[in-house]
Amino acid sequence: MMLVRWALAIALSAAVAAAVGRLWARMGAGGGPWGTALARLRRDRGGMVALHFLLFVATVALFARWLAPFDPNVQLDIINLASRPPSVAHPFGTDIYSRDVLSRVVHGTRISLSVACLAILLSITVGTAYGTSAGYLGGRADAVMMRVIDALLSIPRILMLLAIFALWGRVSLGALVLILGLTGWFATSRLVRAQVLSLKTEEMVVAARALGARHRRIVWRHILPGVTSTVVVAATLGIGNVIILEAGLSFLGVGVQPPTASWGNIISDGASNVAGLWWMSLFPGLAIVLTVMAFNIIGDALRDALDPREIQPA
Amino acid sequence: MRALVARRLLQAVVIVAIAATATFLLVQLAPGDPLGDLVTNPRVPAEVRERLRERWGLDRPVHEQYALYVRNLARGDLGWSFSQSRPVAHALVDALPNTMLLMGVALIGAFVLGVATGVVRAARRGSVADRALGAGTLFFYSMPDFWLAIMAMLVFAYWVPIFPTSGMTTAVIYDYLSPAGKLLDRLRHLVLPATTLVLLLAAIIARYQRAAFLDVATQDFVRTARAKGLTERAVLWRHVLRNALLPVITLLGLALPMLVGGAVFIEHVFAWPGMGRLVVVAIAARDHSLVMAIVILGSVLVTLGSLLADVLYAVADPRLRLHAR
Repeated sequence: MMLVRWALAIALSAAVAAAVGRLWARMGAGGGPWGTALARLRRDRGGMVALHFLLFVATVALFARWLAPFDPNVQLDIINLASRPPSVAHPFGTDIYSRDVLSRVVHGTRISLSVACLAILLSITVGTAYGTSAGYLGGRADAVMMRVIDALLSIPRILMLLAIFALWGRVSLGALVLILGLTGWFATSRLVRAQVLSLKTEEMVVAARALGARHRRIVWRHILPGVTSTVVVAATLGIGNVIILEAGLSFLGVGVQPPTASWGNIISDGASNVAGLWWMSLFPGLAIVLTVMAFNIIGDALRDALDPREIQPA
Repeated sequence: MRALVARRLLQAVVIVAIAATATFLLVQLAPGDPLGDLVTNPRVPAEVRERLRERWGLDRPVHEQYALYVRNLARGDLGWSFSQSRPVAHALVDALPNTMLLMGVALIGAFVLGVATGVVRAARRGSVADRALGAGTLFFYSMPDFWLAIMAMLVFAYWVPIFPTSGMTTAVIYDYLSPAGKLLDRLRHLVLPATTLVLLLAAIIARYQRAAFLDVATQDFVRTARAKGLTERAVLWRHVLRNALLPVITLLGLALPMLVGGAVFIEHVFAWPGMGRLVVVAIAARDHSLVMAIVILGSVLVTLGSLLADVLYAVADPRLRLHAR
């Protein structure tokens, strides 16, 4: 029964991947920088494998309740089933409370992915707004705003996060997203600002200004579309980073709080006895590595596809 | 040159000052009383609380507290660590050399391995070696630091017990070892944490190095060198590599924050008595002054790293010296 459900999940994600591929192909036929990039992406075998995998992971996150063989927080049989290595009934083993690790990893997928996606969305929004303002305003405002970014970037992000958690203590999931999002936009804002500075001198912007367009119109119609590709690449490459950070924080016990499962805190549960509970660090860790790798492959492929310098006569 | 260094130094001071101010604001914004549970504990009399407030300047307005904070920082007074029952500075002085040792070894190893990997990949672009190394680089690049540390510990300390699981020395027997034995013991403890850090950092460096190498390899002067009839080896070694190494210097500035972050987790997993472990312990104990000091120190370290990178870059690339003036 469980196998049928997993097979359905794989079939569903494959169908979505195929549909996405067709959509990209159609957009590619339309031309333009995005069309060309998507068409190139579609021909990139590694990128397509990564896309398939990510859609599968997303399906698992979406249908966690149907795909997890057990309730992730229920202690199945504390006497007979605690700390069992992988078996047919429990492919990822059980933890010291006899909870099914596969079910916890499946539910953890949901938490880890949504925390990372929401946090990166927040980072990208704030970073784009800040970078666009600094670049568009220019002059002294730009200099001050960038000096602040330099200072914030000089604090290693993990230390900044740890300091925040040291002061605020354990936080809710919403606050975790907020904290991860608000500490992740500095580098993005710098990238966006550089892009805006070069866009500002382009003829279309100069022409728009000469025609008497208002600042708001210039920014929305001419500047922001030009930074989209930079932002999309930064978001795709950044999301892996956030997944790793959240896992690290949960591993240290300050991120996602038990009993809610996240990839990081499952590893943390097993870390007190690495040798005796190796399945508790191995499987969630593999989930992190494969997912982050898939995001990075797509990010790299997108960057290569969108960067005109990369296009070389074969 | 001197003007460049002076200007960068000034910038560095400004950056650290802003970072320190941000840290101060963070503490002010945080919920709860700096005195912690002394406030809620009914057995602490009110006048003791008042005296403590006065003693630490907590009864004064925010701007005076800020002035006090800046003055103390400038004098190198980092405050008192409640969890360690000693000045913060002492705790840092004990931990810093251990972290420096780990990070120094990792930095050198990672640069050698990372640059070599990047160059091999770029020179043999599209080959099997390029693709295999690319997959390996991406694998380590996508890995949480603490997980690699746990896996390394699992395989090389438990399953195939060649290396010790944790610490810097073997407890108890270390004192009875000969000097050579002591060195060997320390080295054996260093292998796993250092290798973990090297692999993680080398993956990042290799990604940049390959791109930098390819950037240079497609430039006109390389085509000229080939057109002159130079051998491929001479072109790659003398013309491409020398120029492609320049961006590596910038990476020094970039690598430091990552190294600091990696050190936190790896020291925690391997119980390495450095700054990273200290900060984790300090957080568990809610020792604010210790945490803040480590954050500021981390920022100073990173700023110094990028300052050093800038200066080195100017030394290596005369074009920059001209621009900087």
